[in-house]
Amino acid sequence: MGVTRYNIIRLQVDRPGQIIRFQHKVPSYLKRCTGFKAVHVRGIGTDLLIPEIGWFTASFNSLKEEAIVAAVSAQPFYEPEETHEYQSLDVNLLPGQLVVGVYLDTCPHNVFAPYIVSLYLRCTDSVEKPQVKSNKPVTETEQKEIPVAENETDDCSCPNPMDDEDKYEEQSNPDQLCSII
Amino acid sequence: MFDHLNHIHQQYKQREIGIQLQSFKTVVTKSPKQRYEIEAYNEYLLLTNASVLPIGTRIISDTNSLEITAAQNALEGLEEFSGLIAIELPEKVVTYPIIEFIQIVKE
Repeated sequence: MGVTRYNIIRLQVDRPGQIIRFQHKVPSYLKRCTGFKAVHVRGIGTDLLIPEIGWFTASFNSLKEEAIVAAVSAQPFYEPEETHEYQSLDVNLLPGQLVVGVYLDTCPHNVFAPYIVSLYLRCTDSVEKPQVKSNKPVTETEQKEIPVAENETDDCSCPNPMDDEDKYEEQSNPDQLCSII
Repeated sequence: MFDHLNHIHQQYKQREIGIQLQSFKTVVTKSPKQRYEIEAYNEYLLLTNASVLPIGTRIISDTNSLEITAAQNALEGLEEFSGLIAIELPEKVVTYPIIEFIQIVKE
């Protein structure tokens, strides 16, 4: 398991419709970028969610891989929908190459105020992909291995403990699905 | 003056992008239409005549955006656009330009 490092590209937007270009060099020891997040940091105060105040485009490895096109929203001041989740990204980084991109402001003019946006890149020094849990259905052979109780019924019926005391002791298994009242 | 075509070939080679076709594409603008959209999916359009565009013209694409400023006229560099490209002319245009691109269809 490699270390994870976050690269932050922070931009100041001063006027409506502004186009800001950026270049960023990811440290060469980082081998893969696995996620990104484009967020409004501060500047625009709003009581309602503004789904788009601008958007980022970015390419990796000195224009070899175009990987990001993402809108930036402005959250309501009093009830922000804080999401700390990164959008997934899977880019193998060539050492010393540039991340090049553009931020375009599309904020509605009536709410515009100078603001700051950030693009967070989550990168790792490991080239291994994280293991993903398989969603494969259980195969037929695996299904056969599941022990099936004799006289299986849909009811959750338990034997009467008074019938056989030895059997009753076995039923104290915490995995049992029904309880005896 | 630098050679546009030589520069294009060198840069795409650096970016390991093979070129399937290289041609010219023009967008003729006419009054009173101020906004134009062209599609350039899986290809690149390189603006060659930024100097004739009215100041304030904006070209916005999925991969790059540009606003023509007074300083732009002095530059020789090529701006590259890809995906859906929107061209927005400013209000009160005196002369409606013909916008010329080099079109690169990649392999």
